[in-house]
Amino acid sequence: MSAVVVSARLPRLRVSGMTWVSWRQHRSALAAVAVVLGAFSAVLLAHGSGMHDAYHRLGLDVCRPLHSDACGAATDLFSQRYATIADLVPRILTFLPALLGAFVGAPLVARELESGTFRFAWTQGTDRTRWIVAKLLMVGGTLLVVASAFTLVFAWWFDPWIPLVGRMASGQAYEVEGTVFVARTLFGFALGAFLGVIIKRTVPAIAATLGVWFAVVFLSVVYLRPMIQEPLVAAEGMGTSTDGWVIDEWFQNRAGHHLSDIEMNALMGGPGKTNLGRSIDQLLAQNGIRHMVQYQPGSRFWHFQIVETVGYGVVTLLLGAATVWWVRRRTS
Amino acid sequence: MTAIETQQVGKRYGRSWALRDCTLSVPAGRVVALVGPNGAGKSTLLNMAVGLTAPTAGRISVLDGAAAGSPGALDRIAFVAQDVPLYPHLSVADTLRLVASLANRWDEADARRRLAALNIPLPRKVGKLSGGQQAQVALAVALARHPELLILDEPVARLDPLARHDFMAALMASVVEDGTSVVLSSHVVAELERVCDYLIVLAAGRVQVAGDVDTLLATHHVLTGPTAEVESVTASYDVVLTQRADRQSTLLVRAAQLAPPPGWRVDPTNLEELVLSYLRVPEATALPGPTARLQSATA
Repeated sequence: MSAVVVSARLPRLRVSGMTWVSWRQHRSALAAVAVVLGAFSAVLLAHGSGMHDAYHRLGLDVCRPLHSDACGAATDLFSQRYATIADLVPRILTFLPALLGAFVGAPLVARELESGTFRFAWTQGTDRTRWIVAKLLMVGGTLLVVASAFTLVFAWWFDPWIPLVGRMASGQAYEVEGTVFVARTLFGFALGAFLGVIIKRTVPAIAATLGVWFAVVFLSVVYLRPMIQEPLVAAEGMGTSTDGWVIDEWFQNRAGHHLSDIEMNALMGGPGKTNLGRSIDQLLAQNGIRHMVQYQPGSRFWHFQIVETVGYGVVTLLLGAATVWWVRRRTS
Repeated sequence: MTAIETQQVGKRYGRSWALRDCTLSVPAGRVVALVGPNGAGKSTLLNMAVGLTAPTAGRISVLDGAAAGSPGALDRIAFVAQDVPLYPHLSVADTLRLVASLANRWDEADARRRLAALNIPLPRKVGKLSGGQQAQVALAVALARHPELLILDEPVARLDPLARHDFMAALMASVVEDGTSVVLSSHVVAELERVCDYLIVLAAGRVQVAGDVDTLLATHHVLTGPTAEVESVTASYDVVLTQRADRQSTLLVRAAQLAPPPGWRVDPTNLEELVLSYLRVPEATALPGPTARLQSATA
């Protein structure tokens, strides 16, 4: 059988209409996203396999309770080796959605407006609404899939730390795990598309997208996140860490009075007189002073994630709708 | 049958009007030249006709009453915008597929035939083609949509003389064969004379001349005679423009039949001279039917 006949019999994978147009025009941007996320994933997978091995070798997957003295040596060893990177990587990756969103979203329409090609695209007979909706769905959908895949890789990488530090801590792994990372990627994309339509120039639109994204995420973390649920307050021993997001901690006496640093120092008898650690616990217990912690427990992880995701989702949909409206109405 | 019809259309950008109180009727089935100096509002008018620009005032319709820019109208109109904005990073073949995906009316075989005749390689990136070839790709794509109305905004402004000639030849060959209505704008009149049969002169956002090219040429004449007699001649003829020199002066005169005064020579005019003369005298107009009557009624 000749090659010609074979190729003729193979069904050709042929996507039609706007799907192809969207894919053809944005495939290089999406390929860049895949390369960036793929590179990060490869690093996480390589590093993660070593970290997971160490976790097993040190017996941390079976040692319970983890915060007891029995596991202390192993957790110390593990932390010494991996705590810095476990802290740093999520802090870096927190900003990845801004870059993905800005560099894919902002040029989506801005490049057409900047180069004049919209005059070609919008006069071929396809309704402009269909044109922009298809692009937003196609490119946004692809971002949704690749960003979701990436958070799964990150979640696997970070997994050993969850029993040790929890997953609620704000500004850390919480920002990259779960659905918030994906929601922020799509938010950045819709924001970029919207600002691109308004600003009409690619580079300023990217810059504006990054700026607005940072502002919105920063303000929502600082001001809105604490409002999602009233934090818990509990007495904790020193050195016992919660698996949650510690918002505040203080010392208080039996009357509920918060002790200042000066009062605490006086109580300790000045620096150098006491040794750190459990002797402080004994001293505090003698004086009826408790170490109080205000925190969001790790069990609230999904509640917080879903509330924030819905919030970003609503804003993303509104930005998408505004983009569609603007393209429909846009006339030079 | 009208290709484009406007009623008191105006377009304001900020404080300045790109087009003001523009009422015109572009006939269908003709090759219409829309000429005027840069900034006259030609591009604004043509962009309005395809819905890329919304009028600030007035109404514009295309193809006997269809709303400009409506999907139904866009299916029947092909538009080649100024500077031919194709996607430079797409190959010619992908450009065809793009249009095939976007357009409801599309004759792929026709597009391929036209490009093959021009020796334009399909795998080549559009950005790597010469300016003339890019314009030809845009024209081939526009024609392969078999439009009822083809609108070209300054299609040859950036082309060298040879590419201009080739472009106009390709355009005219197809238009003659399909009977398509064509509207093309230009600020260079000379290149339009051979191809256009209807002329609209737009100056400072207003229509100054509109009419059949043959009629316009038949009703305008150039009188040449002694400068000393200019005043008396001007008094008895409908003079559009007077160009005085020391001894001899030249007058562009409007008249169906012209018997020259003694000592004066009468010559036919050409389109370029006619357009330039009107552009030099902004208050002079040559408009057909209703508009002309309206003017005399208000005068």
